Amino acid sequence: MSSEPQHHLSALTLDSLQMGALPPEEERQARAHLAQCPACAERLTETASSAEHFSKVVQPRTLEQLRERMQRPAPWLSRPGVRWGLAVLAGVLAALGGWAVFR
Amino acid sequence: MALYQSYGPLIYARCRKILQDETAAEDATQETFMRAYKHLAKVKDASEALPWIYNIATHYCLNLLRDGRRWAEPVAEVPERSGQHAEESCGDRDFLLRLFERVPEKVRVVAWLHYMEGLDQSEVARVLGVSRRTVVYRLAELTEAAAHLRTGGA
Repeated sequence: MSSEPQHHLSALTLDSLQMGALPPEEERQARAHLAQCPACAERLTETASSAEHFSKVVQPRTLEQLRERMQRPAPWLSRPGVRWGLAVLAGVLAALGGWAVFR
Repeated sequence: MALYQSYGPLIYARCRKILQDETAAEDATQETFMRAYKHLAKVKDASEALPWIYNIATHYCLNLLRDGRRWAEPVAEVPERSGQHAEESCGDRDFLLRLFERVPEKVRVVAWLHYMEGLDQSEVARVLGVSRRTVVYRLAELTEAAAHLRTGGA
């Protein structure tokens, strides 16, 4: 007969625990639960394993990619039609500005 | 890039859990952080950062699954058993995944977080930035769709 608890820790609680982001009392309760619940302990181990793979393998390879993607202009801004439209708009605004000064 | 370095590992683990594919999880993690950085100003408090990024990642991954029609694919592992079991309320995971095709995104995300990730109603409300009452309504909508599916409704 298994003495495994009926209710389990949520993924958010497990992740917060792993990040050290749980308030002390909640952390104590979560650790007490983990000590008695093999299913939750296994989920924690599984998440930790994926997280470690990310830190060691994925992150070093993708950090620069992400940085570059963030510096790129939005794809719609790069379309020739949009660029032409923006140039016309800038010209119209400049002409209106000049006209206002002239008046 | 501090956000990516701090939260990336756990968000990747979440994406991998949902998508069950390493490469797709990698892409989903990048996309999640692209979106997160764009709207970073919405996070007022550091303690809300994890639930907030969770929300973005879950929406993104569930939409990927929907668009790829991957709901019915065999699942390689046992569903997460947390909080209230999905089986108790909706039947097995395959049934829940079929059900997800029939409900709107807002219901699907609530159901995923509650039944598959084991978040209780208050946690779901916190992650999605909605009231607990809204979560209750959306779960009720799922239950109704489940009853309809069980009786063979289209």
